[in-house]
Amino acid sequence: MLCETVVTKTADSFTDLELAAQSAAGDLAAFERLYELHRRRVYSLCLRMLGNATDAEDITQVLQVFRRIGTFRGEAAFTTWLYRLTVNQVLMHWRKQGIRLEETTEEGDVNEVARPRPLPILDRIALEQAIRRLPPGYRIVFLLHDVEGYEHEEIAAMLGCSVGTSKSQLHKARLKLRRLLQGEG
Amino acid sequence: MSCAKYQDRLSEYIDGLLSEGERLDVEQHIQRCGNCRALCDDLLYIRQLSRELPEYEPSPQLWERIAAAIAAETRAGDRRVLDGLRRWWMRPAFAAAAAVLIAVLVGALLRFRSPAPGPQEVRLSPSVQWSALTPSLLEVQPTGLILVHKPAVESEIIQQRIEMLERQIQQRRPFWDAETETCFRRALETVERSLAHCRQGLERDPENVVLRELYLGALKAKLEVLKRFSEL
Repeated sequence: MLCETVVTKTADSFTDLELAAQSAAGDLAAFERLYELHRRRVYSLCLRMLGNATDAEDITQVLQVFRRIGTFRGEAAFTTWLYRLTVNQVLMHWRKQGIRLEETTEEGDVNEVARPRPLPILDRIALEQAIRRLPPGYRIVFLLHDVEGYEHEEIAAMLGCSVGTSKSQLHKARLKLRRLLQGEG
Repeated sequence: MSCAKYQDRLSEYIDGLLSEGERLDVEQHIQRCGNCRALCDDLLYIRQLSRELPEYEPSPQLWERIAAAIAAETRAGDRRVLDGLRRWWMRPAFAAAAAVLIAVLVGALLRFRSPAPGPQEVRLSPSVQWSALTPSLLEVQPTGLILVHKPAVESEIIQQRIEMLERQIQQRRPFWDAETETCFRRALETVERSLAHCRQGLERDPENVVLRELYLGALKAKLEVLKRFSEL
């Protein structure tokens, strides 16, 4: 005798791709589930990039308009797609404020030989504050690479720059952070 | 190579992006050079600490704002659909002209009675919905071939979808405003008039293929109207 098992999927068991497709078809519950899954990461990234909760929430909210756009076709991981949208929104926000994301080279990027003093034991608050003081060009690459764990190739695609630029901005960001954390700003 | 050159490579070194030869070269240097080693340790420490940074929670009001924005957008979308329908169906000239055109066509077609077409022999695609085919529409030949009366099948399927949408609309209709209700009634009256003309014509000449197509077209128009209003 043939037995047929009917498996009903609960909202929790849908993949990002399935939820995105349901959202695009107008299913608000599916979009809410996607929001629940990704709100912290998106909001945290916005908060660290923009430095204040109001702007970060505004950008996070703006993402809602993308729920119906069929640009996500499952070729890339949903989070990569979502982050690309988030980064685009942040870049647009900066552009409106006249902040240009050109390759940042701060005056005084010099050989670190004269800075042998090692870092003190840090807490995350000191690090968060130092990140906030990074120039935008350094900050965005540092956050995407060191905090969010993206590869240089992915960051270059998100920001529309070369892989070499991403690598060099990251290195300069780390050196600048070290100086900031040593109290040398 | 100077310390500055080695330091330029330290980020790539700690991220594991150097070739084996480059990696060994940097490693040998930092074993000998205290400054570069201290810098390397600090960069590693910053990277490690950064990976442990917590995620922040947006305020609970954020979802409420998003949901409200979506609701406003949906209402605006519904309005646009309704406005489009209203422009189309509320024009009395259009409704009258459509009904008259169908009546004239039916009258003209009845003057040219066509020979009765027999059932068609068709190959059904694997995707055909067997559940939608009523037994009276199928004719199994002694050879095993199945004959399907195609136009009838299509109108049967459309009829089923129409009934389903009518049930959906009946549930939503009590929540419509007066304007939507008027718009719906007018749209439906027009297609029903066209369908009535076609049915009358088919009663007099049931095998007229052009009349059947016209009837099918009117059914599809009704389906379209119901589909649009079922979304409101």
